[in-house]
Amino acid sequence: MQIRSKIVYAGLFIFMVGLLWLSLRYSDNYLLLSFGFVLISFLFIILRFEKRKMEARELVLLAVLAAIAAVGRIPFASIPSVQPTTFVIMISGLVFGAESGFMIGVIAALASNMILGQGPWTPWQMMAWGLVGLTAGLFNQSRLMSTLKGKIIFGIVWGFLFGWIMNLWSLLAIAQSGEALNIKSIYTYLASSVLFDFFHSISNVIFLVLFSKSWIKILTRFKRKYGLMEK
Amino acid sequence: MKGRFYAFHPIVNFSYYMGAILLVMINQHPIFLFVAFSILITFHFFNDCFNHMKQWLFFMFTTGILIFLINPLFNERGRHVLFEVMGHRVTLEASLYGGMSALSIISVLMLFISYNEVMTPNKLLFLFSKFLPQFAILLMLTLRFIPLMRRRLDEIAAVQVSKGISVKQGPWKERIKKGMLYVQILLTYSLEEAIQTADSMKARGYGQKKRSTYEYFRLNKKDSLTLLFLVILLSICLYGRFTGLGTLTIYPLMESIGLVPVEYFILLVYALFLCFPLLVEIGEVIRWRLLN
Amino acid sequence: MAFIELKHVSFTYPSADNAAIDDFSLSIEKGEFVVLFGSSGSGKSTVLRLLKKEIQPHGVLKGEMMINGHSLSQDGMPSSQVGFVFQDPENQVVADDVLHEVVFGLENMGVMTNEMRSRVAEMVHFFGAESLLHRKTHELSGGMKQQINLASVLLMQPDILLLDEPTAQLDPVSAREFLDMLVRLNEEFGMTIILAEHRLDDVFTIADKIVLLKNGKCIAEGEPKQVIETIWDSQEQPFIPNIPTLYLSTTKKENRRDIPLSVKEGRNWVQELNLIGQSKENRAHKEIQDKKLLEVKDLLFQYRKEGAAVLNELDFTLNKGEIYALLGGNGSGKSTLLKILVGILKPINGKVTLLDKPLKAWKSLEIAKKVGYLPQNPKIFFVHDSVEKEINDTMQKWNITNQTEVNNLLQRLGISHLLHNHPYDLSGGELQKAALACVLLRKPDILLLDEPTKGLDPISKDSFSKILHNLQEEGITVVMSTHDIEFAAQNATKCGMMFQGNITSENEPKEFFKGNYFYTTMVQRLFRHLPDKEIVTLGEAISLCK
Repeated sequence: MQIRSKIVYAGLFIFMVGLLWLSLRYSDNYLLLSFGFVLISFLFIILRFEKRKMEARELVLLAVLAAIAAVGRIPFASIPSVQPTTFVIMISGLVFGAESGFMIGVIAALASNMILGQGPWTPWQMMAWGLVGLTAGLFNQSRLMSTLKGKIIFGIVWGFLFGWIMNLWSLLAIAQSGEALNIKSIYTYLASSVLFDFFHSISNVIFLVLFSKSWIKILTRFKRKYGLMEK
Repeated sequence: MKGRFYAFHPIVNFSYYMGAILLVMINQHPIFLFVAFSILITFHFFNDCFNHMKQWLFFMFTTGILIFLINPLFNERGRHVLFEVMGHRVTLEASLYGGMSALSIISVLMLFISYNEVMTPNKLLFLFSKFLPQFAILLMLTLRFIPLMRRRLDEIAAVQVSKGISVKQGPWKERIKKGMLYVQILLTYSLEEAIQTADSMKARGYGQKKRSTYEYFRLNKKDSLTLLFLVILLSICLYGRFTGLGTLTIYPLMESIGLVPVEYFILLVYALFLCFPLLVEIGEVIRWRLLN
Repeated sequence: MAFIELKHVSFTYPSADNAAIDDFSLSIEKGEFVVLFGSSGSGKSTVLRLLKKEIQPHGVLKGEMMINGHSLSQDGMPSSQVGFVFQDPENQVVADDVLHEVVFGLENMGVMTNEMRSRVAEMVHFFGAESLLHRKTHELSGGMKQQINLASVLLMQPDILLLDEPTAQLDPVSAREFLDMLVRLNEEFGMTIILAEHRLDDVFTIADKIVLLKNGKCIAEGEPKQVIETIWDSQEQPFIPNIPTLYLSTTKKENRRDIPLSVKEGRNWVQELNLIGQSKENRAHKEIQDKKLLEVKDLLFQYRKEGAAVLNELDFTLNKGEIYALLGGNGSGKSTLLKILVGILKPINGKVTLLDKPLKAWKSLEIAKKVGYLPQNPKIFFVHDSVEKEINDTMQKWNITNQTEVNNLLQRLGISHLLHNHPYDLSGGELQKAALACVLLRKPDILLLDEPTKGLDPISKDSFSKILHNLQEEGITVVMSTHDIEFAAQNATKCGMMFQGNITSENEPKEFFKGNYFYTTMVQRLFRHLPDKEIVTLGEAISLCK
């Protein structure tokens, strides 16, 4: 088992180096190759998760949070472009750490796509929400994130960042050759979603202002109740 | 409706879709893309007369048009000017570029529509459980919880409305607040209940031994051969692509659209790969005809 | 030595002052069917959990527990030897389709696929569940889910089956089916079964041994008839089912022979009695005023446009002062009707009139003021993390300032001491009262209760029925949907039978149950063969037999 996982890691590493080399050699495909690169770093985190044998309780906890992140938009069906998914993942990352936050984001995106229908956006959504959880977890010890102001900044930044990551999938299709696409058109493309991203940011802020305190309290209570405090 | 291709081992299905998506994304050449587009259209027609594609049609169409237009709109580069509008040069190169991108995106979307039909959650879970068992359990639990949470949210909404807390009334900010209150009740309630789920997993021995997986799907000889066949086809295409075949260079100087002889061979392999499910289904129909 | 042996077991939870289990001893032979009963919090679940190593609670454990000669504190006993089925059918399910679910335990044991296939084939055959195997778990009813949970546990081939109130959340028909399955396992395969239960009418007839727990202590233990006789003259009387209660309260001590448990035994006994006259107990009904509060005409409702009609051509009238019980099977539309009456769901067609004004014309806040609704599951009623906060919030929302009135209400419901608790830490009965308090604060005219007795132990049920009568005295009109026939017969002023989206018959309890053959009380079944005796409730029967 040990040896097998080492082989897997080594293989992935070689693959990454190979991709790097390819992207230097065939620089006109750099966007596609960098996508491959990101995908592999992705696999690294999932493999790390795979190696750590988790308790039933911890798994169930992650699954509940991912499912809530996925269905959380239902009550807001009557209010356009408001959904609490990003908020739920962010708070989960803050309380349960980077790895758990990442997994919750990835699973929430994957599972809801499996139910609603997958498309080229699936891996991007997994990545975007995974990164929301990951970064929230990475910064959870920082002074900034312990203040509401810090969280709000985080929420605003991710509102836009999320939209940009999601735009990448169509950008990828447009930009097959690096030279064809100039900076101006990228800007324009990103700007086209700016209104949506703005609403995303605003709703993140509203949720954070109103609910971050109570949610962190609830999740911390359950962290203790599930016996996950020591980690 | 579930055809022969559906009956293949999930790894065959999955490899086909991943390969096909990769091919239509990297082979940016009008002839290649047109061939791919035609094959996929035929496949969807053959499969269910566009039944599943119908609901995606609008999305595909608008995405295609948008991508087709965005390039010539912002990109003036190219030697062949088609026409000029208010000082903006629309070039053949940029239009061609936009057209190829649009065709490629539409093809990818068509592949995904068929993917959603064939790769059921069960198949995907099976694949994950082979390679990432713990991830698969997490995914399985989440897929089980989603419908449960949905029903709980309905119940919560019902009770809270009876108490006078409704998301359908009041100012914008109040409604968001109430909506999130529902989700918060769902959170507390579900986390409380889920302890029992974890207990039920432990009571059934979860985490005590190395797990085995119930093999829903068995990789038989036919599956392995098919997989090998697909991998060979894909490798040829990829090799060709990296030596510059099957793609149209537009900048700095546009190549001729015509194919060089060896590209015809690549095109044939490319078409054969994309056609695979279609060939399987047609073969099945012919066999039925012969039998009856 | 007995197969399962508990010797002087005590157990204390980490933050508790008192022991949850206190010097508890019990020995069980192989193949016995044992029933643990007692009020909620008496320690039934704790005993069961202590016997299953994987889910033993944390805390201080004293005494010795042996299964088949192995001490539980040592390793060496395969965990699959003991199977455990929990109360809530929903929470135990881990997979989204049934096949994944049933093989979950086998996968955990590392069983190979071929072996799994043959075990599953066998089990599916035994349960007759071929059609379920490829369904999604969330489409199944509660009863089916619980059967699947049982199947999943049985596939691991345990010798001992522990069940923690497995039928508490099921309707009577599914509960009966589930118990029948347990009886088969016990009789045909010699499985040792330990079952904790509230609903005792059915289980006492099938148990070899029953054990009554109170505050973690074993109060009585032995054969059912023997235990019933010992606890008859104690505080634990409410636990005794109807037929033995009737026998014991009408037969003098010296004349007692064999206590009847089933309807069959009961009838034999009644036959011997020479009954003359009519029941003297006439229920002192409050006069029902002929004032219509709610009126429903020609109601049509469906959840989805293509779907079947859940309610169809339904007519319903509610008069002031009534306690109306809606009875009927699963999916007959009871809960849906309640939701329409409180304005949560909007009817597709038909008229609903509340206090002479169409329901459509009411604002939802105004409806909330007139009509209170208590869901099947009171947990989702609470928004805040303590009962007190919830009550304060309700007071604020409805501009209630009279603190003494609120205190009186809490006093009357007997929950004043629970104010600072988290709602989820309360027992089923307490939780229900707390939610009821919040509803009653709004002073509604009509109270809608969805399955109010589900999962309640007999003592909480008694106290709830008293509350119901007090409310009626105060002029509150009640509609409840229920599976609990005995409860309806005792408390309702009118019963309505729902079938396929319609109220097919409606009458006062006596008349209502008199005509029914299956859907009726234990006592009525006992006296059915005496055509001139219209006896439905226990009280009537007792007064007749005396």
